[in-house]
Amino acid sequence: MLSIPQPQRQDGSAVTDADLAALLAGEGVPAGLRPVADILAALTAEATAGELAGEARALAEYRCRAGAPEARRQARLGPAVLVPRISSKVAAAAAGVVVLLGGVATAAYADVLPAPIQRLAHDTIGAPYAPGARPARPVHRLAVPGQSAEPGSPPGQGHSGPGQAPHAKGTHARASQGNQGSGQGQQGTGQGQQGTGPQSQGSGLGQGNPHASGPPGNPHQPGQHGDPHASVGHPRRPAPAGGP
Amino acid sequence: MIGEEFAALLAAAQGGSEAAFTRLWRDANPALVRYLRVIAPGAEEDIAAEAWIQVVRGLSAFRGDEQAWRAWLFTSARRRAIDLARRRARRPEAPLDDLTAGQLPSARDSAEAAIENLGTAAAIAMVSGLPQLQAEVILLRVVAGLDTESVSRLLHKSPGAVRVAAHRGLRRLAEITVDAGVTL
Repeated sequence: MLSIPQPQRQDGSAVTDADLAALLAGEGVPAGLRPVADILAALTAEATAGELAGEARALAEYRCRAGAPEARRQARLGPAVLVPRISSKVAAAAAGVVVLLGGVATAAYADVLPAPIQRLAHDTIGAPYAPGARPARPVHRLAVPGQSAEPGSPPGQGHSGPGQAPHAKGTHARASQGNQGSGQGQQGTGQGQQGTGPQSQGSGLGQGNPHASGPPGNPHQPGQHGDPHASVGHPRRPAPAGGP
Repeated sequence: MIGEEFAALLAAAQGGSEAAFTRLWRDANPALVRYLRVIAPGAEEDIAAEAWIQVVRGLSAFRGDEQAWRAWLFTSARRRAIDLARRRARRPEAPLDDLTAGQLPSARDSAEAAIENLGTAAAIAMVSGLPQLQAEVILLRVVAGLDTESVSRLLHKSPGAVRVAAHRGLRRLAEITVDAGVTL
């Protein structure tokens, strides 16, 4: 049988297991295996720029999925999402302000606010204002021409006490023709709280003559004879212009 | 390989530290790319990126040492390389002559890589000439730094088969270097 003799090689074929272990460990490599050791060392050489090129991509994925909670939230919420969230908050706040202001305005026109606030509302939005004449319970009644005020009318609406209308002269004058007409014709006491004659003329009567001196009060003809000094009171609500 | 700092770096990365994650990435990605150049030439960067995405997704749940960490990363990359090879096998490939100049790989990148690290490129080319199993075992043992047990699990081979493949591959490299008079 023909046999072809294999030449005894003095290279890798003679590598023992110990040599291979030394190669993998990188220590104690025989001189004949230096080229192999160099190859293995080249495999573990320093990283090249191309091998580190994907860092930004991996880091972006890390930020989205495994980063810090704040970074993850920022990465997931882009500007397009953040803006509507901010807008919704602003809109909610604006709605709250509108509701609040509306409630205040309603309360101001209902004349149920504390005096300083009511006065402010009066100055700013024209809400009614009756300083010093706040009733315990607001009485709203339509004025009926010729009807005298009830004895128990609250101050400012009819029976103003002395001192509340220091300029009243006892002539009859009426506060207004509207639903604040109670208290008309109460002679000698005056009805208003603050206003003097000239000031009171524009407060709903439109008839007062600062120079007219009227006859004794006629409670059934309210407003016919304005007294320039009679305090007719500041109507709690603007009375319609014109007399009866 | 990171060594003793690995546990602290992993915990920090799991807690949201970008610096710690960057350190882990820079330590492992070059070895991963070199491994993929042999088993999935031309797609190493894309596969490496996909593998890192997979790792990032499961980072918070990972428990293990550095060997397990690298084994996880290389296993994920190897699965993607196998999927890519299957897709390529099903898809007809166009010969290079039919490709336009813009579709061809950039010669500049190849030249730069060769200039930057000629020794590494030559070494990878030599290992790529080995049979597939031997090349993989050598790369996983030497480049990835995995021990025999981890390589055997990764390749679904027995530890004995891994040792035999490693020895045969190294012997073959020794023969090649002596025959060709290779110097890196």
